Amino acid sequence: MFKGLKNKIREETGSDVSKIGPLLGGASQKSAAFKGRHSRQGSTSSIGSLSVDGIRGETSYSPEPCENVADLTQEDLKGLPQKDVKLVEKREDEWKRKLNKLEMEWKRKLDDKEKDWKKQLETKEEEKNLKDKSIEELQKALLLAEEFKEKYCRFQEEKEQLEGFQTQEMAKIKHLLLAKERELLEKVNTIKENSAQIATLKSEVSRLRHFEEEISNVQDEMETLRHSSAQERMTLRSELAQSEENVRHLKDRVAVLERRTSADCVALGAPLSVDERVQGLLGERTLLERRLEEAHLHLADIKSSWSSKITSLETQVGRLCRQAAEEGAERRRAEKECERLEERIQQLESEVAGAAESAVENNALVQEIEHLRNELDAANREKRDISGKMKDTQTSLENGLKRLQEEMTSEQDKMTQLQAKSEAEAKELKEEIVELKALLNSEAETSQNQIKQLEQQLAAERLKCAEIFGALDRERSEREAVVLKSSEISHQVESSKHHIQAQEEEMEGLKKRLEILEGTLLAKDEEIKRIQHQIENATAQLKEVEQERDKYILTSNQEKELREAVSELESQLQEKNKNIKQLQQRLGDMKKTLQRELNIHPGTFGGESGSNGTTSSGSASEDASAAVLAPSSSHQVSQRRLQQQAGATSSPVDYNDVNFQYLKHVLIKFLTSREYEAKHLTRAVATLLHFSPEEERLLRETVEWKMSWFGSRPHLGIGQKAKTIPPS
Amino acid sequence: MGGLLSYFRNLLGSREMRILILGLDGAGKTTILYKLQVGEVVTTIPTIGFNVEQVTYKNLKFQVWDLGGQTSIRPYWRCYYSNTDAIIYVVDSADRDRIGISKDELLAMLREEELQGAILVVLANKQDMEGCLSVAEVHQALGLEALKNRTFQIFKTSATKGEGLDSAMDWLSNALQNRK
Repeated sequence: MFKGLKNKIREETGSDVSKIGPLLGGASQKSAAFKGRHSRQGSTSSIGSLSVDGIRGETSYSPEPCENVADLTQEDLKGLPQKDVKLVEKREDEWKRKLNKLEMEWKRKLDDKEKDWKKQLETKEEEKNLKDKSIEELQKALLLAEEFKEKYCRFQEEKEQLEGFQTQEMAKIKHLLLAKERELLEKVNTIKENSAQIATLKSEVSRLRHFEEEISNVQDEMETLRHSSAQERMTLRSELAQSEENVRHLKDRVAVLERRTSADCVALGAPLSVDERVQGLLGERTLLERRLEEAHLHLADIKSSWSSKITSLETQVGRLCRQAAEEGAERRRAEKECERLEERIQQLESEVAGAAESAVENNALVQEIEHLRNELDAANREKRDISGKMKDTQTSLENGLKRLQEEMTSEQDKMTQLQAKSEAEAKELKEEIVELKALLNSEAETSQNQIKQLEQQLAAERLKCAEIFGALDRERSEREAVVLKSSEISHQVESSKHHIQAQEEEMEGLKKRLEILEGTLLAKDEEIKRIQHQIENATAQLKEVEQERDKYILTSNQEKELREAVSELESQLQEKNKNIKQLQQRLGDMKKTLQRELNIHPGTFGGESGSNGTTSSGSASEDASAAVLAPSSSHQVSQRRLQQQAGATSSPVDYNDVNFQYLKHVLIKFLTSREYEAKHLTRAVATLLHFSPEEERLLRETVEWKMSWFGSRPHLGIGQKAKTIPPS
Repeated sequence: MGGLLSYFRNLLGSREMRILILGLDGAGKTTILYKLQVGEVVTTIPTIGFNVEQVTYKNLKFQVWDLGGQTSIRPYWRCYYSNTDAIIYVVDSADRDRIGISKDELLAMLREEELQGAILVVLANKQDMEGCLSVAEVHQALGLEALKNRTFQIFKTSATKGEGLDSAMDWLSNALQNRK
């Protein structure tokens, strides 16, 4: 029991009781009192046993003062007189007071130390919190960095993919290009072959042109030959006709002569009788007379034509005479008119004389007279003209008559001349007949010779004819040969033409093919151009993509920088907030302490006014409990403090505040309205709840997504940072 | 479902006109809204928040938003400005003291970018009260003569007696149809 006490004391004082004992060894009473205090403290119920063990304790005091102090004191108390007891008690009280004082001091010291420790603890906790926060920040930063790393990786992958695509496309394009080039080469080769073919064909054509010239020459020759043959034929025909004509004429002559010769021959054979000769001559004469008659008939015809002409002229003359007679009647009529007009003039003059009284009438009459005179003049003039004309016509008619008479006389002269002529002709004919008669005798002699000659000639002519026919046949055969040749040549020409045409067609075909090939070449060129364009576009796109990537990298760098700056600023802000919180905490502490002090001061005053002992003992017990429960109570206090801080920072919500009511109203409307209205309310909700722009965008997109039929759900984050419940 | 309905409504044409009724608290906005919708004067309480009603006037459909006008919630007006076709600005003609505040709020509102195309109708309300400002006075007090590039008209109304609202709505519907 005492040992526990001693230990307690040791704890409290930091020194052993046994050490104190010797210190106080000189003054036993003091020590006794001290011990007494202890006994009092240890067990107040042992007062009764003080008197029992008082002396026993005194004897064994010095050797072991610490072993059983209570016994000692009891013995002391027993042994000591009353005065001393009182003194001792006084001392004891003093000691007790001193002890109390000491204890109070210790308590104060303890409290101070406790406070210090608490403060230290708090600071440590704060530091811990700070460090935790920093750790969290760092973790966040790490996560961000990882995200960025992932993004970067993805980006790189995309880039690589893009590059792969590009290379693939490039390879494709190159392949296409190569194929095109190969095709082009083939095309070029075919074109070359075609051009070579064309060259050979051209050379052939030039070679054949020479033949063409030859052909044309041959044709020309043939034509000339034909022409000459035709000419010859014509000449031969004309010769033939001439000869035939000659032959006919000669045959006629021969017939006439033969008749005469036969007659002669008859006469030669047997002397011709005069009568026969006369008869022959008479026949000839009749023939000639017949001719004469024919001439007479001709003459009569002429005469009749002339007489008809004369009769027509006579009828003309008669008509003219009739015209002259008519004109004479007209003239007479005009003269009569003249007379009548003159009579009228006389009449009018008499009227004028009668009507000389009225001047106006006179004038009018004079005018009329003048007019009439004018008319008369005109009529006279006309009459004169007509008479002139009549005279002219009379003269012309007379002239015509004269001319006709002259003509008639000339015609009659001509007639007489013609009659004379015919008479002369008849005489001539008669003379001729005589001559012919004479001639006939001579001719009969010569005719025989002539016949012989003619027969000879005939034979010669026949021979000639046969020769000519032979020549003709030869010519014909030649011509046929020539024709055959020409036909052969023409055939050749045609075949060569055909050949040329075929070649030309071939050439045209080749040209067409060439054109087609050229067209395809052009198309291919265009395709190549297009492909080049595409390549250019692709490269441009590539460049753009690269630029965008660069931009993106730049922006991501900027973002990083900005984020760093933001995080720095946020950390600064948090620090500042912490500072503020600390300050607020301190302020709260101050306030609390102030309040507590204000609350405590009246209480302490009251306690002090009350009995000292009881209060001291009560406070002591409280202190003891406080000492035991110190850490937990401090924790509670700190918790309360934190709550209060929270209350202070978030400014206690006044549920009747207009803003809160407004928020409530808007939120209820937002939650209950259709999407169409909700879309208009997103701004208000975002403003009221202090949404970040991203959150506001998210809300708006979600509402729009709900409104639309199609479209994808907006990206709302993954995992812990997700803003919405993921779709099941 | 609501999205579907509104989608169909959009398909059928006849987009609803979006109209905001603004003004200081106690100007009579809510009374005007329900007078327009129901045709009767209803008893109202101060609007902390807003009221939205479908108003059909001469075959034209309007979605009318009546926003509370108390001082502390006036800043939230700007959250509702987007896609607004017309603004009905209600002024308490009898409130001579706060007409200046009303003018300031009106000018601040008209400066908003989102409301550049909106038609403005000013209603000088409470014309039945004694000692109220005349239309000309309200016009002058609000500084409407300085307003340019804005289709607007001022009307004197009395929501409780239902005077002047028809002519204002006539003008507004004509203006909205002409604008299209």
